[in-house]
Amino acid sequence: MRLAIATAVLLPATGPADELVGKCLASWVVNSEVASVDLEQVVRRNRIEDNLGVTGSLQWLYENTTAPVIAFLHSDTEILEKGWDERVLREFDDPSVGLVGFGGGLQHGSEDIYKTPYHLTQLARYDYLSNVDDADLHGRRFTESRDVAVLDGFALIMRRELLDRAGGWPVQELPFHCYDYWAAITAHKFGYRVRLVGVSCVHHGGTTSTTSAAQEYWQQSLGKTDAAIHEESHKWLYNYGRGYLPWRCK
Amino acid sequence: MNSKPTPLLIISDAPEMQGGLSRICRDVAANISQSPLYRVATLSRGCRGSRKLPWQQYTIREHIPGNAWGEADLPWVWQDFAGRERGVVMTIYDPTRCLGFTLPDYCAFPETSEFMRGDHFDLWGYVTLDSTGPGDRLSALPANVLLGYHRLLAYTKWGEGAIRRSIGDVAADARRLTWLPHGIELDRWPLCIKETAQARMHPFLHEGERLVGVVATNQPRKDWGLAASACREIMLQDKTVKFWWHVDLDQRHWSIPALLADFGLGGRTQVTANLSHDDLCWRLNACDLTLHPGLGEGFGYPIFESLACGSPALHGDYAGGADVLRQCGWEKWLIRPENYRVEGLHNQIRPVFDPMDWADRALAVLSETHDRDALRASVAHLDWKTLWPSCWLPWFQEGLK
Repeated sequence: MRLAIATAVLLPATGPADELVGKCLASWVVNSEVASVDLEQVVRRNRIEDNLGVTGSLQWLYENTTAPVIAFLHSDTEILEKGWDERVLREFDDPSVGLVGFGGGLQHGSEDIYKTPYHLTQLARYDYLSNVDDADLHGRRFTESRDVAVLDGFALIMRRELLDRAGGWPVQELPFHCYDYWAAITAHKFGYRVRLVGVSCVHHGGTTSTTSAAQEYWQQSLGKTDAAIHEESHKWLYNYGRGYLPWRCK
Repeated sequence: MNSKPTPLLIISDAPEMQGGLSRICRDVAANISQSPLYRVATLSRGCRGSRKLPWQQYTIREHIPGNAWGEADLPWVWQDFAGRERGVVMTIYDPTRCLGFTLPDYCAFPETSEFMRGDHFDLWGYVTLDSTGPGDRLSALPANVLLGYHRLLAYTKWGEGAIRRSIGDVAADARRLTWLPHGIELDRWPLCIKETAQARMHPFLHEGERLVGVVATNQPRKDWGLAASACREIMLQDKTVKFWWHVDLDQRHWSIPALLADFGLGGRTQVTANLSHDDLCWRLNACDLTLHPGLGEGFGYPIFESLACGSPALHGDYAGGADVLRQCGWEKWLIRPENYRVEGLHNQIRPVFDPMDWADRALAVLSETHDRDALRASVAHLDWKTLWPSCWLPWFQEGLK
């Protein structure tokens, strides 16, 4: 086994959303060039009554896979590039690489972070690059590979060893927001590099975590609004990132 | 990164003393000496040495003419401290004090000039700036001094901007110019119950009276004349206000007794010097407001210690102290200068204030209620406990790459 492709979906999904998820999941396999015996595919199916949430699902996928590299992909990510998985795995041939993604920023954290009083925007990412279909709307198009400071959560491919060393995902501290920021900071804390691979893809967005059902779930299960979780997550990450932000790859 | 600690010699004011430069020298040396990355020593004027400071302390031989800032001492001190090891010399000084280190023509000691040409260390500067010159830049001489450094660090974002404008972006980037604020030990500046703190000032301060504090050294840059003028205006408009002035010496550049007498403040003002740290803390807690009449601060410790103790702070809108006060969210407490003047050998611009502006703003602040917890929270980011590992230690680590 070389690679686990892992995702979570929120059920029941109906109509167009269901079709989109099916299309996205199919695109990962259709465009795969890793031998099927080396590929592990796991889907976490969340239902209203047993919804693990975003980071909880990532933790479940980590615990329920065995491959040394895990591709955590959003279920609304459609991959268009043949051989994307071999391209990603080549990055992991370098033992200093701990985390790979399809979209990322060259700087994480503002220049004045920790020098001036806290503000949520100090955790922002800068100079965003990707090869999604509408890359120019989000930053700049980038088709090659390079080191970056931080990745977007729609595609996080992690060396299992990194999660082992970190003790898994921060399920309690970051139930939903900022888990991608956490992944990059954690990689840097353990001395790994973070790489962007400009895989051609589409991030459709807005089909799972941002639905009204998900919002309702946060309110019921955690007793907090999405806005409150957003604020708390950023404050926690602000302290977690001390000594590692701002991170620059320019 | 080296496995062996890199020799780091800090040249600044004596770390066992109480002045601002002494404090930042002591704090930086104390913190970085905890790291296995560096082996620390200090070279300072007037240093008597202290066994409480766990690093080698060298004293500048001030009796040697021209050796004001350690120019004659650097070669032998480095030889003694580092031998043949390559390392870092870091000055925490105004650039005008460092002419002899970076401009050989200004060094009275040929041996030092020759030594500085050798590749013994990287020269880093934590650059003290409390003013700019014409064009909002440094005068040519201090700007040239900065070009002799390998790495530059400003006290504030304002300081970084001033250096950048003075030496240009290319030179600034080549020297990895950035800025880092001083830290304060927040635990040592606790928030007390204000009423209790004010009660401790009885019988000077009675119930229903308010207290305005002024904490500054007695030197030309601290405008005690402005403070006295402003205090008089406050007193004339509000009879419930009393004043507490804390100053290191009552006769030096200013005569504190003469100011009190001539401005009619004697009966309403308590003057202190040499307070214990605890006494200083509870007096700051007792204040309803503090005035900071410096005509340009590199950083301005008392401003932020006042906020930590829950007292609003008024300061002039000029230089680094104003920059940090603005970052803390208190722009409304910055007093705009009426005008500017130029002074000294390096054409330093100093603000000129109308004391009435200070008095009016002070009376406005005194008429408001303030969330003392929020005042303290606004300086929480300056606590060494978090500032050091978040910003300073990474800066020192980066220096070894």
